[in-house]
Amino acid sequence: MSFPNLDQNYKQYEVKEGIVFLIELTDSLFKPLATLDDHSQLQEILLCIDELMSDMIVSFYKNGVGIYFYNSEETGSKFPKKSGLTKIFSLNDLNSSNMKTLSNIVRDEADGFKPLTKRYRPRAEPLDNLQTVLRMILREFQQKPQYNRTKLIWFTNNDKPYLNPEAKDSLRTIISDFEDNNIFIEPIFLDSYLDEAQTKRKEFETSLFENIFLNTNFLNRVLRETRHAEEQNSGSDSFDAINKIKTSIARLKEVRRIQISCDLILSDGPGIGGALGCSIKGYTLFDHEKIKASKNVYTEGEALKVVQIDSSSIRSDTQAEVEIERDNDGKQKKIDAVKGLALKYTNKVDELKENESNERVLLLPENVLQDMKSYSFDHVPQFYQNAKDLSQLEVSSEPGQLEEVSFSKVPYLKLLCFRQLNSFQPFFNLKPALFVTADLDDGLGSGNREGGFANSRTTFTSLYQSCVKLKRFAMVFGCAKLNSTPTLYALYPTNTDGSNSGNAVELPDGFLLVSLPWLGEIRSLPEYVLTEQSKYFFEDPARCAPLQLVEAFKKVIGLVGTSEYNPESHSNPVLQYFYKTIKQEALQMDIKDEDQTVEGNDWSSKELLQLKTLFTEDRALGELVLSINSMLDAIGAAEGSKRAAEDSDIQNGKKQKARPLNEADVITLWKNDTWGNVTVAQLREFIKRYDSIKSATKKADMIANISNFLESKQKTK
Amino acid sequence: MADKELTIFVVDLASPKNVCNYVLNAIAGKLLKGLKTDLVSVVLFHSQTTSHSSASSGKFKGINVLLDFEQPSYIQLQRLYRILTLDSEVCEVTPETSDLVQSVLFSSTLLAPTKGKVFTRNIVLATDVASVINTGSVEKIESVPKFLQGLPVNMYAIVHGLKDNNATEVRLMASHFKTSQVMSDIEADEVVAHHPPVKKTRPVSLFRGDLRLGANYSRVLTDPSYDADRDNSCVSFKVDVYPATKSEANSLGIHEYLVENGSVVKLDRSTKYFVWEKNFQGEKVEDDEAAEVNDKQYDKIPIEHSHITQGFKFSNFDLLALDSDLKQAATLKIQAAFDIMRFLDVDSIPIAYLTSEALLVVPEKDSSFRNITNHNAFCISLIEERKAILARFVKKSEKEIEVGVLYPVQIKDQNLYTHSLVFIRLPFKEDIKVGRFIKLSGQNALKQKDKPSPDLASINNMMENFIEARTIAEPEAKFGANHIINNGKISMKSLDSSKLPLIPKGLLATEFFASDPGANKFSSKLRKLLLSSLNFDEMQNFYDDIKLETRSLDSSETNLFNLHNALAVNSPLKDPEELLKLAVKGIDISKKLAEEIGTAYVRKEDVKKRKITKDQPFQSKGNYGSEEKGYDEVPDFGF
Repeated sequence: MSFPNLDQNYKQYEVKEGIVFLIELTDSLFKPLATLDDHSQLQEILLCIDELMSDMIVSFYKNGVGIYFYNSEETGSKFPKKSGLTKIFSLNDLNSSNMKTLSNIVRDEADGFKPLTKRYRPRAEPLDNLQTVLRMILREFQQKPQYNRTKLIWFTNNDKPYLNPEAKDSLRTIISDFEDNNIFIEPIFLDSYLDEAQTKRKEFETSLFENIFLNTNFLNRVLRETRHAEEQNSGSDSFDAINKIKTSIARLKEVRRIQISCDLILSDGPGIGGALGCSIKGYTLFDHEKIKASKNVYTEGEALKVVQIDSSSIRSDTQAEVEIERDNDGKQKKIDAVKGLALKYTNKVDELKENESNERVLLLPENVLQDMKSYSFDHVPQFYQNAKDLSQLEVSSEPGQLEEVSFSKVPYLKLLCFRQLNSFQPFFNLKPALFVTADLDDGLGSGNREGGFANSRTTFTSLYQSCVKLKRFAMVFGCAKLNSTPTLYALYPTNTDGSNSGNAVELPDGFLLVSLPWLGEIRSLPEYVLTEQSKYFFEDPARCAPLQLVEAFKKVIGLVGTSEYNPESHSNPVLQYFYKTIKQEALQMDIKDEDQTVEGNDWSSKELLQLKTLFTEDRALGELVLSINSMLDAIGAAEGSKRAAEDSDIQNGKKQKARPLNEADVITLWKNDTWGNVTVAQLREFIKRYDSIKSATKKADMIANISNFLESKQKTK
Repeated sequence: MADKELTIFVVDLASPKNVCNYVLNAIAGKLLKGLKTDLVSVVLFHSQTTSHSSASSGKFKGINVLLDFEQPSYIQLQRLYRILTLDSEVCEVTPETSDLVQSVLFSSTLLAPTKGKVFTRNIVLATDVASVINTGSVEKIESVPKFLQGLPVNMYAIVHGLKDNNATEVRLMASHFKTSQVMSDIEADEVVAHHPPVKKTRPVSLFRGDLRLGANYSRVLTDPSYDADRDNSCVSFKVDVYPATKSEANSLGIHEYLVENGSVVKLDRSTKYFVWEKNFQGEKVEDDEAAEVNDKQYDKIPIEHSHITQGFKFSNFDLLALDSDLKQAATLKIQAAFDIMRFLDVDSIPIAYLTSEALLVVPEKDSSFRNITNHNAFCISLIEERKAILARFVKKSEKEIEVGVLYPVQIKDQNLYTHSLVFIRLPFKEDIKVGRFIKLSGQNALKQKDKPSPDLASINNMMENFIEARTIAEPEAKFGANHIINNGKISMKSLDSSKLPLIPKGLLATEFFASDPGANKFSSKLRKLLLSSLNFDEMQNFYDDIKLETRSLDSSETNLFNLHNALAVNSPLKDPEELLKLAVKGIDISKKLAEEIGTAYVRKEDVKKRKITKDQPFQSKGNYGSEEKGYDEVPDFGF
């Protein structure tokens, strides 16, 4: 019998994306456009790439970018002579020197120091050598095999990719070569104008491009989007260059980080088992980006070097390193170690033989451990035989084609039941929800899976549509990854009515997989809230605060105002400030005039400053707040006098505050073990006076610490 | 620091063996946890051996104090196990031997070392309903409080043969304790299996200060002496912030060991630091651009820890030393603060935006009446207006700015309520990882070129029936009162926290708060393993015995998860069959649905086979597991 290897981590590859921008130089590319705030299209493209690189270094610093031009007057070195190819920098991992080069070019254009027209002059006569250009670009990709995802973003406003009709076939072959190398080509056809006033847009004729992209679907999206835009704007000019450039480049940051791939099993019971289900995949939607952890570096050498770590197993008895055998291929074998749990053997150490350890190890051999950690789900357990309702049902179920699926191995998610949407409570959130959608490969595409469900997309689509319609979410149970422990989830549909309004990040259709806590993961209220119940708890919510005060707060809420929060327009101030400073350091940029204040770098502080202005300027709001505070002060004063009366009662009737303890008191208490009447406050005050007595929070511990201290003193005497 | 607990197990040796199951499992559980603050005493009565501090006086005959105020140890558990499984220790029951009443009274005297200390004290009595009670003993029950000397003690009794109308003496005795539970041995086995201890983790405050609305922010930024609490032109609430949830990983102290000729050696990990440096081979190829770079051209150079400093890898080509100046320069000088920015409609916050563990924001410790009233009034107004708060939270100076939502909630504890705010982080722009996916809505969602698309309308019709059949019934009253948290764990006092497995009493009100069944399975199997090891004199022999174990499950109980046991641990399900009933309701429609859609489990192996024999129509084996029989997937070790 074979067991799945439970220790095997879920296979997930780090995405390393290589993006090449290929730009055809033409005269119109350099013309300032009114729709681009008098930027030229080329300037806009470079600005967007500059921004993209700054953003990408935060989240994906292992990605690579390259920027190439063709149809250039001057040909760059290392390119075939007179090919008209040149570059700003070749495809390479993001780095400060390339970033600096690009930001200098952008700056020089902005302040007119060296305009782009002077740097990259387009040829007057087209070379008609697109084959050469694309072949060179393909070679650039092939020289950098480290990227597991590759994209070519191709900007042009020239709708004649070839002049000689015979070039068509060879171009088509090259495009197929790109596809064979898994390089995705995204052509972006830029608009140009026929007149100086920029009113007449030149139609981009895509037929020649359709010829060369014939065997691929690279062009489909462009065509679809153009059609879409035409339908929406009935051919007006609003589908403009600026949108195209910005959105197409910003879209490059989009990622689909796959987190889980498993089956969602809906059915249960005899005759069907888990046969109704679908294969699903889960992706990250939101995840908090943090400053990358700092590394250990070695400073003594010529240049800084990252410190690496070698980790090895050593025997705890001899401290000798455990030699690792190598097999015939020179690969290291696993150490033949067994997991175990050490238990205390005895409390009477004198029962032990000489050199005998006071531990017994409960060893857990692999087969036992597998059994303890087996989380498979049984869809047809024997107790179904005893279920009362079942006998009636079995009559109605005809013998069908269906084969019973009796159990599911990890990874799986199993439906427990459905619930009404409005019974969902978000208050015990644990982590960001994953986004779940149908697995279009029916589970057969993932390496770690044994199989999957046919027609997953149909099942999933219907499940989604029905849940949205009936306003239900599903409760599911299971291990979504090979190495995870069983978890309870809510499978909550996205885009239910009203949940996705205009002012928010657009979410795809599907389900959110929300982790729900087990009991052990729910934390309790602090003890003081629970023990001083009369103070913090109340019977009737309506009577725990004066109505006037509640109404005043409602008015405040109305005046301060309600609006939605849209993450798109709020960046993380601390992260941005950190990377801004580090970028300046890495690119050796001038930071003299840099704003270092909190309000200058933190939008949330700015918003709070504005809120204060609202409080000062809106008289009604200001007065409301004053009246709230005076109401509260009155409540406080009434309570204060009541308290004072009670306190004096206590002081008159009962004991006074206990006097501080002196050394003699404590020694007497210790010798007679009569700590009962001493208060915690007295003990705390006493402990504070002596550095050598450890402080503690509980009375028992305080007494123990004082006793230890006295005992140690006695011994030293 | 963990709370201290003393449990005295009082075991009637003359009762049937299975009443001891609970005792053995409870002590085994404590030994596996190895807490120094969890102490036990074990008192056996009806024992041949009389052994206790006043044994010489001839009193309390037949009482054997096996353990007194000790941390459980392996050898002691083994001794106890052997006594409890052998009959030879049972003495003849005579009027002179101590009965259960006397034994419990005697055991109370063992609580003496906990006097004046903060302790949870439990007495667990395991006995038989037919256990002989001496004449005169029943009257002594009244003196239980005297023996307890005012100490709060919990009493748990396991009685073999317990019925509603018997064991009156045990029940009477239990009623004198602070809290008590009397259960039959069958119930006790159920408790051991499905109700592991629910522990309260001592809440640790994450932030204490003012939650401000409309504070003078320019002064906040510049003037450290500014106190919003004294500023009448703004509103401030004095709050403490605690975690509401915390992901928990199972943290049993499992290590790796080498097993060699009967002895066991623990393996430790050691780490060494090094850098890669070019060796002469590397130098040689340096000028040759065409040469390939490989591992052999580099050597590992070990380095000293003192030569290591912090650095930051900006890109694959840029490594910066992160000295304190640069670190300081790159840190935004923000102060710890908690501020309300504006309000949000409760229903406008997409669940997808909730990206952190939840935090509880409650009125501060030793709050004034003013502060609590303020807090209550604010929460009520938010709840009635169906608003939440957008807040800026800086837990620690110069660390992170968190922007999140504050939901107003009412936490229910029996018939009382308290107000709290629940804080959950929202994403920033950088945190958006939304990609593009297939569209699922609309009637044409499944339309594909050149393929007949399935009849979505008829499938949807069946799917809706399926969903209706499997929707759990919930009281209507809950809807519209979604701001009420009704969950016994959140309002658990530390006094209710116990290290013993117990019947949960009114702990939870909804069905979906249960303990982790995976962790429970692991720990109950571990206890079984430990208890079965006690039969062996040497651990090594036990290890050799189980290493080759391939016994299969032959009992009717499944070793796998199923609808019946997935939520059964500490579950309050009023009707544990509920999920099962729903499933049964849905069987018929799910069969029709599966046939209509044509779902079938397809194994990769079968797909490969199909490719080889192209001409034959593809016959799916259907299901994984179809060739395997019954429950044989994983053998069970029925220790």
